[in-house]
Amino acid sequence: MIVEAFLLGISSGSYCVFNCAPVATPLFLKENMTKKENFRRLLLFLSGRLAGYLLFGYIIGLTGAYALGYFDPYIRIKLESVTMIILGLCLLISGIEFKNKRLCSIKKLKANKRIGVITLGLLTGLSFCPPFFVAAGRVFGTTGSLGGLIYFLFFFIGTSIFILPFGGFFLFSRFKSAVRFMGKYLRIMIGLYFLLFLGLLNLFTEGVKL
Amino acid sequence: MKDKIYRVISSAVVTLPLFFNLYFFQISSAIGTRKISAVIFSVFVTFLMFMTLYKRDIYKYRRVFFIAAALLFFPSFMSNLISNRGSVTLEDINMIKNEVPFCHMVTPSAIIPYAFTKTLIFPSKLFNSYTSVYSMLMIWLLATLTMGRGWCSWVCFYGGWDELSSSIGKKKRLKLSPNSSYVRYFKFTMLIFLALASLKTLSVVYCEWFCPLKLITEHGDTNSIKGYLQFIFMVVLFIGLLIVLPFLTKKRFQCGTYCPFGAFQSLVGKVSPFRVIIDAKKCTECSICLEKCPTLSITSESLKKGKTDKTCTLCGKCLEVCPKKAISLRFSWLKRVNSLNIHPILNNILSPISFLSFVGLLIGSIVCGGFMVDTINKTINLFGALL
Repeated sequence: MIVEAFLLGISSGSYCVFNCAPVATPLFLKENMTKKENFRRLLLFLSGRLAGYLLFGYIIGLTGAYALGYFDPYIRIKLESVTMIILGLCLLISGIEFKNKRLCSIKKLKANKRIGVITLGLLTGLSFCPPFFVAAGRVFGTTGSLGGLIYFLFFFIGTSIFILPFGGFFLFSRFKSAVRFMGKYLRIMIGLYFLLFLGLLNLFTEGVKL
Repeated sequence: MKDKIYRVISSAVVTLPLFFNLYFFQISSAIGTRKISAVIFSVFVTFLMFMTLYKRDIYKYRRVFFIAAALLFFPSFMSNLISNRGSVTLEDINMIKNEVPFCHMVTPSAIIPYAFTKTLIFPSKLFNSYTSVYSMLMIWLLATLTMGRGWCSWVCFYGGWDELSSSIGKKKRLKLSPNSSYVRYFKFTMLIFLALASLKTLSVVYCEWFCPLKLITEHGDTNSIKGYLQFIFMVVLFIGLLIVLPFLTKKRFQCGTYCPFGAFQSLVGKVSPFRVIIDAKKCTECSICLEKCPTLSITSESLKKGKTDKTCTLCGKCLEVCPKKAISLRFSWLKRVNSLNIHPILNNILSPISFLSFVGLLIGSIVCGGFMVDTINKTINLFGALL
């Protein structure tokens, strides 16, 4: 089962990178970022992901087969939409710098803050991609709560292989100003994309793909 | 007087090869009214080339060609679509059959998905067509190696729209500072975003949602929410980026701040031998060039370094407006040619301005010539039918 979970994590490879790259890229594009700070952010992001996986694995293993009946495709899409709306809002808030700091009451979700990085990691961990559902399906009926934790731990290790290269983005700190502004723009653009196309339109219509 | 004669001779020497090229590729193969159209086009381009060299004024005559190319492109393109397909609407069947003409604007969006997945996300023919992927890529490669981002001021048949809008009226109603990082880095962000989005969706995201030229080329139907949203996007982008904002700012807004292809050309265009150099000894830091540059390619920082930013499109505006003539066009890796002590005629022929004008109008006429001749031809036929 452990090997299976790890392989399932690796199999999510391209899908996982395509989904997490838009979130992870602007996160590691920051002015004056040192190698140490970049590495710390990467650890925070990964710990957020790990926490998300473990939490999900535990809950899903615990509830097991009882929840299975409620997870039809329609609910899956709607749940995914809600996650995307939250992700989009996080990115938008982190991209728009309010001159009057008091305007931004949910500052803790800003990607510049540790809690923001962890939250984004957690939410990307909980994005409902196909391999994630396969893993969840296995945990549902077979493992229980402890088994769910272990299964998702190895699933996390498998997916993390594709996240690690993002730790190299400190190299871009050479281009200080460019990196800073491009990171901000990217967060806004991708935030809008998540919020509108993957979130709201999916939640209230049959879905509009970019 | 002697100088004028020298300039006439040198201008004619450089112009003749261009005319021969136009004769062989446009005039000789044409028949009927198409031949007349080809002659009109060839004489037009030859005249512009000669005047550019004789007056040593790149900006003025290049701009005439550039705007003419943009205005003559869309009647030909759209009318051909209507006669071939029945409408300018892009149907699924056209994409399945790979019937969409390849557009240079999607090059950066198509390269990355192709590198990762070996899938060409643009529904275009690979070979055997003037508008196939390989034809356009070969022309793009040739232009990039010779002119770099000069493509954006000499060859692109879209850029003339905001060049035209920005030249209407003289009063600047909205100030756009080239020093602003918000302005300078937006197009590069667009490039990164579109490359990632195209890779994620394996579709041409720029073409579907962000191209301001869709209104005057081809677009999807409006039978769905997606189509309706895309239609709103393309109308807003066309009016905003190509008409209103260039008019208000007196800048080529789309080319200078938005175009992801322009950003891509800025990065790959360093291979070009042409550089615009600012002579620190002559420069009085009046900042006129900084204020007038249509693509925001001269900043305070670049001025101090004595050169333009990498986003420079070699349009020639700064050469024209500098009151101290401190700005000049130079070869970057043929430095000896810049300071040759030879006869004035040879000096003029071997000057960077001659080379740039020749290459610019040659590639420009290869890319835009077919469309321009076609529109002239259709106009002649239309008048013929009316009379």
